[in-house]
Amino acid sequence: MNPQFKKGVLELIVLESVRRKDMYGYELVEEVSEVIDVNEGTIYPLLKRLTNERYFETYLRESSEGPPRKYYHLTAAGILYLERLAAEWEEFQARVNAFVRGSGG
Amino acid sequence: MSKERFLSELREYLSILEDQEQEDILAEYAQHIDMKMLKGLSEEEAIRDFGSVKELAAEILAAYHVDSEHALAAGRRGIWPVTPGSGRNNAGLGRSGPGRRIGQGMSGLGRIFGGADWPELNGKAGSGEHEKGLSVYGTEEPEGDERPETFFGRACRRGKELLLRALRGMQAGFCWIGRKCRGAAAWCVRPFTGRGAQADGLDVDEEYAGLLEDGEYEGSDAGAENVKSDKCVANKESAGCENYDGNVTNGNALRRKKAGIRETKERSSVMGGFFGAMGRGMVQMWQWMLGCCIFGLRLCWNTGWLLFSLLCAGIAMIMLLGVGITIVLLCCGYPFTGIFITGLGGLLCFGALAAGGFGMMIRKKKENEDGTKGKKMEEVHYEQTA
Repeated sequence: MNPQFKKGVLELIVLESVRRKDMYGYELVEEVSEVIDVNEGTIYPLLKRLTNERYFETYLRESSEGPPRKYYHLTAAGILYLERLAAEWEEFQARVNAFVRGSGG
Repeated sequence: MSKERFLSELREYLSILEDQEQEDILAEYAQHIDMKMLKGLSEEEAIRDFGSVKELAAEILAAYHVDSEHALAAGRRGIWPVTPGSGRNNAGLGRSGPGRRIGQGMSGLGRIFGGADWPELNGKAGSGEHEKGLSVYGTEEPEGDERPETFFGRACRRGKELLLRALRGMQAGFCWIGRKCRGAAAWCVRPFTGRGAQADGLDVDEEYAGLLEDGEYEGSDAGAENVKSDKCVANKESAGCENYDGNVTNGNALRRKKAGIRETKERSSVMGGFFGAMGRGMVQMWQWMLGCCIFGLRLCWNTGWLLFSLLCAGIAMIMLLGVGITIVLLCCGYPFTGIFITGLGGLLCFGALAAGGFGMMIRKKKENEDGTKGKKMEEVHYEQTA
């Protein structure tokens, strides 16, 4: 897949994934990798940025497999941001599809 | 590449960030590598999936809105040297070098111009909060008074003080000029208002009494014009007028003030008498000249219309005579109908012109008993109509 496409939608996918359930970093990377083939390292900076922008909040939860894991939780601001992104994505892909399929006005 | 080396390199690139942030990021990656190893991958493979460490660090720094190219180059050159494994930056630009000075200097400038800290410079890189800690420039802000003042910070503080002092001086200068102008204007107006030494409706003694009552006195030896202006009282807190504030605590100053007011009063009464008489004479002369001009214009106007009206009336009289003769001749059977009609028309026309000319003349309005002009008759008429 074109890396530029991936870059654009990565944020939306991450937000949507965390909206469904709270996740820790590695789990999230795996979830996103199922949708798009993405460099694992790029997810963490994105998570950090979204956390800094208050769309995510984090908490630690004990794990039986090792040290406590940092879970990401979508905040109210994050939900609003996700809705906005999703709406933009819908409009964007509809227009592009319409244009590519030649049925656009 | 081993896990340790990967983390060490990554830390090196991220050394511009706050320690806690670095630890968070590195912990995430370490955990990620561990989990991949748990799933059966080797350390090498787990790390390879991250790609280039430099690119990864650039992405992380971009998430913190840090110029990644510059930061990476600086980090790699050792401007932010790292002690591997210690988790702490020991020296360099971020701690005690020029970065600290720049940070403090900009902070000082921020305080001068806005009174608030500069968020981009004083906030922690990446934390998004303005806390004590490492800034984008690597400045760690010590708490409260413990912060040592650098040259740049001192220069900024000094500049701020000088700027404030200059502004206060300018404000005081404008206050002084305004006061002097007000005093000069009051002095010029006094003779014509005929109030002598009174200023703003207050007698000098009242003014002096007011000073005593208010307990406010300007610390100057000048005369009444130096009485503190309302503006200065209202703006007591403002820097420019603070020199004129104060309470009456000095009896000598009060006596000097009283003497100054009396002197001003005497001087004003002498000067006011002369200038007042001169002013009143000039005003009367001007009024007389104006009256003459108006009278002359009205005379010319009325004379012109009178002559016109008389001329028209004379012609109308001649026409009336002609019409009368024509009527007699018509009765005698002469065919003078056309001449009769022409004469009649001329009579009416010139008669109307004569009447109009008389109407255009300006007459002096009849004064009523109570002194009002031309209103009473109309009012009576309206009352009767009602």
